[in-house]
Amino acid sequence: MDFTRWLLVIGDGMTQTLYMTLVSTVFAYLIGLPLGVLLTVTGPKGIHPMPRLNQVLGIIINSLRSVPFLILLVAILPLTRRLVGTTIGSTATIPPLVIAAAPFIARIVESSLLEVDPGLIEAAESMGASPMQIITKVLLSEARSSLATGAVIATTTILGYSALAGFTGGGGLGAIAVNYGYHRYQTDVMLWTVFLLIVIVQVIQEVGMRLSRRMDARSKK
Amino acid sequence: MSAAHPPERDNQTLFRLEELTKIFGEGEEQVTAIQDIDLTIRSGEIFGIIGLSGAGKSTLIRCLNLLERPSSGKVIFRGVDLQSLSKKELLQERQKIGMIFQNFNLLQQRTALENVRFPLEISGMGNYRATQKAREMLQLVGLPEKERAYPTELSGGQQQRVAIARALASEPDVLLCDEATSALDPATTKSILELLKSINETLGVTIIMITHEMSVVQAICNRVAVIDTTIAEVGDVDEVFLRPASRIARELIFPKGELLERLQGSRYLRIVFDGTAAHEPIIANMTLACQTPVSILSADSRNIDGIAYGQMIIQIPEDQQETEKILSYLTSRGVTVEEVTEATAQNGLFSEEGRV
Repeated sequence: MDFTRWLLVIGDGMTQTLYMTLVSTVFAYLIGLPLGVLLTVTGPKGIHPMPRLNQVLGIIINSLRSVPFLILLVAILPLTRRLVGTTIGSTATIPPLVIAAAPFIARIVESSLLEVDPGLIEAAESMGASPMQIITKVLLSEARSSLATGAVIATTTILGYSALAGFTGGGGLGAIAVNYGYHRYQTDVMLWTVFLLIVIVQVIQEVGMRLSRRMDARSKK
Repeated sequence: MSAAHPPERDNQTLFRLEELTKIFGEGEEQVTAIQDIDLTIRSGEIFGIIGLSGAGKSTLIRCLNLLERPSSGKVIFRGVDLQSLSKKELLQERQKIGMIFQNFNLLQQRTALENVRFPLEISGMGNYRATQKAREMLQLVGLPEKERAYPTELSGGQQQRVAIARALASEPDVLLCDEATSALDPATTKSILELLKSINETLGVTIIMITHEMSVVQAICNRVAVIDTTIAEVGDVDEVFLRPASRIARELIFPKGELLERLQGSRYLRIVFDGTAAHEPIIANMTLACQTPVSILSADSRNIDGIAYGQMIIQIPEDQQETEKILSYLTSRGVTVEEVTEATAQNGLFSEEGRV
């Protein structure tokens, strides 16, 4: 394979990987963030305890998280087809990624929100803050740095999952690694994709953590 | 809006508690935090609620704004039964009941000014007015130059000042103080108490404070309730201090209360350790040698290289012979001893902050 074509293939793979990862992360957060808030708020120490709902949510989330991603990927193929019209390519990888990542994100968000000092919530309640105001102005606002750290972990995890989707016809660097490296024994291509994945993770991690620190007023001392 | 003597200014009832009871847990693990509390708090006064830890103080103060729902009984605030209110009405009422806490509870991601703005944002006040009001409040608590500082950049005392400004921003009728000075050193405690007192005098805000420290109650409260799950006694601070009627009040005022009773009609000695005393446990040896029970009322001594420096007030039985024996024993050991009156002995107690 000549160099320019090779570059095109790799470049295309990178674009697709980033596309899958970012779009999936956004959608997974659209589901996972409210779920995480709901888990915290309805939890035993939440501002609006609802034991039954909390338990049911917990079981659903744990069950989804227990399913290995590769199996989930195949199991929801019919749903994927209905949602995006195809079961192969990058876009088809997004529904399973979202479904796999949302419960994971819900837990990450929950753990960030649980770190918020209960005293702050009590203070807000004493001032007459409504539950919605407490969620937006206390929980999410106070936990923002920790939420950002969580988002870094979530994004890199989704990136890892997206590479796995290469096995079932998904696109991106994972697909290149599988198609060239695994099926055609082009180990060098495989190593290059792995190297690129490492670089992407590093960049996300570095930028994300820097943002997280900058968001935290406690570090301003 | 100004008067030197809050209780005289306005005898209107601000809070009325009727048979307030709060039970935590169920069945076997049931714990009664407070029981049958009847209490009236007047508008404009500084009311202290004192008790040992576990006496239900925190629960009681949280019942006043329904952060804690009582198991039975009523909380009547300005004639309104708080428990009869809808959720929304209760949130409105809470804006009239400010609260400060032992750990300040400032939002860590907001500056001092933004913290003070917080209750105003909640009540839907416009941006500009809220900022103006918040600035005024920071001025009031003496921290106008710290408006851009984050809580981590402020000392404990400064944080509590911001918390006070925040609690007063929505112009409440009453300020609830939950062990507001317990995390502060004595000097800072004093300055915060002075601030609270001046707020009470200039703004006419009623102050209700719970504490386990007698010195706090003594410093600024007009009236005090001593609680131990139930109310042990209520009265003017001077009255309760001079003539504590309940066992729990005596325990809080005289930490060795029971011994005081047992040794009724006793005498007091002040012992001064000036470093010349022999290297030995003097008080212990004295009790052994004289076969007399003594009670240490207060002590302020430190050990430097094994030699004791400082002084101590002890209580001994009235018996003249016993006293002679003790005096001669102590003198023989090279310490200075003098007999003091009961008043001096008690004063010695009270002058030692934190030991009371």
